[in-house]
Amino acid sequence: MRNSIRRWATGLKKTSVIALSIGAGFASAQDVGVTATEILLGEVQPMSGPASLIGKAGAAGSKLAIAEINANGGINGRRLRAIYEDDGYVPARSVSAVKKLIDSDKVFALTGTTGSSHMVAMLPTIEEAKIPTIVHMAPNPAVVNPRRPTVFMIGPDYDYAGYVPINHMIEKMGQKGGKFGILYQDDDFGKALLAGYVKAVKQHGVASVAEIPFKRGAKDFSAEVLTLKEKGVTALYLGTLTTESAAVMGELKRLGMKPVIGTLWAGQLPAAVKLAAPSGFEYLIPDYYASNYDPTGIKLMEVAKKFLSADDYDNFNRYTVSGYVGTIVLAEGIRRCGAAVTRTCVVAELNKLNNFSTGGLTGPVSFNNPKAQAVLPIKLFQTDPKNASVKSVTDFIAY
Amino acid sequence: MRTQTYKTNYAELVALTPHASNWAWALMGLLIVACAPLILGSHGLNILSVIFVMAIGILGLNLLTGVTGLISLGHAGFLLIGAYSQAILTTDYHFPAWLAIFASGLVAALASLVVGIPSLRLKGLYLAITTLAFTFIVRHIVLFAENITRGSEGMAVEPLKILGYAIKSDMPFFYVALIMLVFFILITLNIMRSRIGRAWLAVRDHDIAARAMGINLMRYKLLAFMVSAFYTGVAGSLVALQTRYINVDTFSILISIEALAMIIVGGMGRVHGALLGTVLILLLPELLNFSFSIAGDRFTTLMADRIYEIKGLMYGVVILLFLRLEPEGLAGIWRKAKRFWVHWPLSQ
Repeated sequence: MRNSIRRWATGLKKTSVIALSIGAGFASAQDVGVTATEILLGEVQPMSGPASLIGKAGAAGSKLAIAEINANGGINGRRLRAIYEDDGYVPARSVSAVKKLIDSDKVFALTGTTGSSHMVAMLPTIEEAKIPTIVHMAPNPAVVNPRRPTVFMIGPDYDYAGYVPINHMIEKMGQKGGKFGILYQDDDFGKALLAGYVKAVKQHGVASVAEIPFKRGAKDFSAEVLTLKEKGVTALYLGTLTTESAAVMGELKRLGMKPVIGTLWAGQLPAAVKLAAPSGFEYLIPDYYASNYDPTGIKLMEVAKKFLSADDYDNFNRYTVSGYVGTIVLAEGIRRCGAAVTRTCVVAELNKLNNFSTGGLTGPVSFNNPKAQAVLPIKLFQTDPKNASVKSVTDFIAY
Repeated sequence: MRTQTYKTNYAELVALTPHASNWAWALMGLLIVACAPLILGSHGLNILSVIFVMAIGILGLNLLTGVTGLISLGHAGFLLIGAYSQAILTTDYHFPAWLAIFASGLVAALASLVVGIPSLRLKGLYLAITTLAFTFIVRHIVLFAENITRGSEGMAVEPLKILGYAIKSDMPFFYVALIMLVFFILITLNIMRSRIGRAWLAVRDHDIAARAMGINLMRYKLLAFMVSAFYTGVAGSLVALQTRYINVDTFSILISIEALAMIIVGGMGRVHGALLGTVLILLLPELLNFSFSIAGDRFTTLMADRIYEIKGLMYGVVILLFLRLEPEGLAGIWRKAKRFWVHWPLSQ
């Protein structure tokens, strides 16, 4: 009898220990998309369609960060995994994709949020789900105005892309007495670039002789370039994207013009550099990410060779760095939560993020400001058309 | 054994459905679909809502291309006009959103006259190119008229409000889209059994013979364009209400080609064909995703960036297979399957 009571008591003790262990397991809170061994992330990227160059590179950056983190043992024992959804650069598909990630795949957080208008389309869904989200590829001011509690943005406003090259042309390239001009897309994005350009020319009191808008999708810039020639422009800012920039530079060359040129960050995509190389212009490019032409970016490419497939490695460009930085910043927020990974905790930790180092790929990242926007310092690059390459001109500088 | 074709009086000929039992089956199907929110989450409901909304536009395209025989590659343009009308009317002119849905259809119907009038003299490939050009023109107008349309920046869209309740989440919108689809199916079935529907069929089969029989070609061709554009405009307004943000990127030329694929795969000229085609084509990416997921995470990751390229290939393959093996489309398969079932064991 006594033995059976003892056996019963021992059994009860064992059961209690097991129950308490399970209870403790539950007590170390975890959220949707988090298991004992894994944290699931989601990305919506334009991996097909006109912006596939950007989307594939962004996804490759995220894959690289995840592979590297997992190779180092994951985050507090949990491996990262990501699901990538292609939206074909169509806002309606972005909404559908983000709903799939949140509702069906049950991801914990989002690190890739496709283009500007696409992010605006996804915002209501993201806000409703209260899901931690890092916007790193298209820093559209509308994303953080008004502030969304779970959304964090990496990158300065677009006007810096207009301001920095003009400022450099005036201060370092002898254009104090120059005649300035700008070609900009006639939308919010173009107007932000124009604002930065105007700020720089006003600040230095130089002459802006041509401010010419063009409609999105324009292919022929002969009339615009002819106007620039008539106005005698010697320093030009191109608010254009890859093929448009090459078309304008080709036209400038045809008309025998040799202005100093500056453009925005997309200008240093390898495809853009190659397209523009035959025109022979050494144009300036501001960027807040170290790209595949920067020593830190090149170092990352060596890591990428180890972790990425040949296809993904071939897509390496500044957007790969963008995807990489977005993922390691989110991973830092998760790491700071320890074992109890919840969305609330990660959002709180990201809100506290201050001067987080990305190893030289960007300036320090801080979200502890009213907009939760990391306004990063900017580095200037210049193309070398003979070698179809790009070289650094400055270090990361805060403006 | 019942017959599908033997009619003994005029009422049977113009009945909405050939058998009373069709109503019971349709009602049962509707009830099953209406219960979808019990088992599906937000993503599933979103997909079904997209199917319902697109099906309205496809019913419209089917009336024009399948029933009247006028090929259109301009329906992305009508969809765009509907969506922007909804956005502009509700945002800038404070129209009630439900009223703006039908007003958007009317705006698209009026715009259809731009291609409808040339269609009186054009056929086949020439008409297809004209309608394709219409989509390009509409897209450029939207980009240029930025004082009205906000240009490439796009527009936020006010949510639909019914009795003061804003329909923002997926479940209420799912029911709105379902009700609208049922409404447009009934309208389509009614049109098909009317003089207008029969006149359109006559125009498709032989327009000269139709004219000899007293059918006013100009009137009926224009009417086909306007009715088709009205359906598509309404679908466009529902697209705007669902995503609550629109820009021209949403309405690419590919949509018109996808729409044609839907009616070819479904079976030209048939209402249930249009519906089945829409369901199959819109579920293709989901079926692909599902197939990839069965193959494992690594394969899913590998294929994630190729889903729309594979989808494009699949469209081509599916259309080729249907044209080669079953020109009547899914509606033909459905008809044969039904006949096999009804006539069994005598079916061949």
